[in-house]
Amino acid sequence: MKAALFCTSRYIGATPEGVWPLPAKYCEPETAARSMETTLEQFRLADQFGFDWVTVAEHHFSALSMTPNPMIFAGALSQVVKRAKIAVLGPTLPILNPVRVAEEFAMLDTMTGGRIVAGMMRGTPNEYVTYNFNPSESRARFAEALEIIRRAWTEPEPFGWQGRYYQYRSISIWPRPVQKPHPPIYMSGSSPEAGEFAARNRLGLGFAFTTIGEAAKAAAYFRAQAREAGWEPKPDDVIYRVGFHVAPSDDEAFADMSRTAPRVALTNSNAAISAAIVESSYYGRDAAQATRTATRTLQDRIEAGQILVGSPETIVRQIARIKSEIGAGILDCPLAAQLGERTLRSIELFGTEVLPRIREL
Amino acid sequence: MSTEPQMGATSTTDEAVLWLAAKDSAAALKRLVAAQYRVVECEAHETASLVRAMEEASARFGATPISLVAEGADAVPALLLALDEPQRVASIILLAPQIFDADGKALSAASETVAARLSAIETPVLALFGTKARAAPPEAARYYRARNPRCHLIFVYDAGEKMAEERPEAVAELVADFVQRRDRFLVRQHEDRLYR
Repeated sequence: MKAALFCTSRYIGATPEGVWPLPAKYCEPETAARSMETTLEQFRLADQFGFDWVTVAEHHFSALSMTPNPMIFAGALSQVVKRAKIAVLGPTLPILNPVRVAEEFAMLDTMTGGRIVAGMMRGTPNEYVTYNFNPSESRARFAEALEIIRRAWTEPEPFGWQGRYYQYRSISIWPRPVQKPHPPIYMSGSSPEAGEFAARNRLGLGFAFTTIGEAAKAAAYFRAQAREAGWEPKPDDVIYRVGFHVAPSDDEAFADMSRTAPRVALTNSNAAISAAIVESSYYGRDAAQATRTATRTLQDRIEAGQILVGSPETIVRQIARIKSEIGAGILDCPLAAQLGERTLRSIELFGTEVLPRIREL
Repeated sequence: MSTEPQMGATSTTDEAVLWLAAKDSAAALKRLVAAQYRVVECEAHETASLVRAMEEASARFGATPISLVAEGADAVPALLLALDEPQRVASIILLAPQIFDADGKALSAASETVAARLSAIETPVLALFGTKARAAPPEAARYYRARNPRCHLIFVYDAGEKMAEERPEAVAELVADFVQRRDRFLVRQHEDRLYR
């Protein structure tokens, strides 16, 4: 198995929990800068200790994630992370200009000598408020935007686009991506629609904010759909996102985690938005998605496979379960806590004690 | 061949568009374009009869030169006319043209002839390719532009060769804009302001 370190560049100062959008008045610029420097250091350590990928993602209006444009952060990472692949998982495609996304990915691929992994996301539902898009149109926008990006990466001549949601009269991006025909593409989603789309379009598929049981079902469905489409996904075509905190002992790891606040999903942090999203067709045939993001106790999250907590031995056992039930080849591991030196130690322990033992899983 | 003007009655300009296609094709698209231009249907499949059709259309409407819309393999006579009698042709719009395959090989002897001379065309050309088309695959588009950098390529999303029937409004907007503005169609003129 491979592992990615995912840091959201969380604000390390005090802010109210469970509020979205979080009022900007709580943001102290010096603390924000320090938070970003801390994240860069965490990624540098991950590169040093053998993580295969480092991951950034797009979220808006929140102290949980200060990378509203993850491409900018990935640009900074290209100068810090020298070995690991840089996974942008990813831009929230339906609310962005797809030509711009294609250009930025191509820039990053050039700056990293072809180490970019291109996640194409629909994003968390609250993101649709950010730039004022209709979440009901998200799947159709996503499909069209992705096709534009693939064309932009591969067409050798200028071309225009007459779409349903996008219109361009001339596209010819510079630079072109280093990887041929283009960087590997992943999307995310546990819904049947996501599995079908990824299979049809030969994309990797990632699972986040779900449980091992649900992800196992969704991964099996994705593989079945892919076989129907004439291809067989490899383990690396499946990503499972799971938080982690490693300490020398289980007790120490749990004690560390008891000092952290429960994580509240961004959409669930605003009742009106949450209700409006349910009314829209955003969740498609996966209506249970709305409830899977409900706040759970730490123990519940461990049992559900949403977080890895414990000693290296315990963590390896938890990962083995993920591998055997889901078949994922890549673990995308968000830091479960921002605990200063203990978080840095967790990264080191994962890299030195866990990673070597999950390679052969 | 038919040069009977079926759709000129509601047009808003005197500019004529000669449409190379079977009479029963692209009805919805033709109606939309006819709201702005005099559309003349023409089933000519070779240059000589196409010239006659243009002369008839010019005599009837006093419009010359005339823009051509050509579907599929009718791209061949349309482009040959632009090569041999460029003064007659204001612009050419190709819907799912069938000159090259996905590997850039000419599809017929006639296509080969056009392909060899494509770089000499100075008439503005817009070539539309459906992203789902098979007979005129989007992968072929690049070869038109590679041979003639003045040729504009547009992919019509979620459409096949029958883009005129599948997405008539989307195609009509392009046809109308290109007939009116030629190469300048590259620059958007639609107003995006929400409120005054």
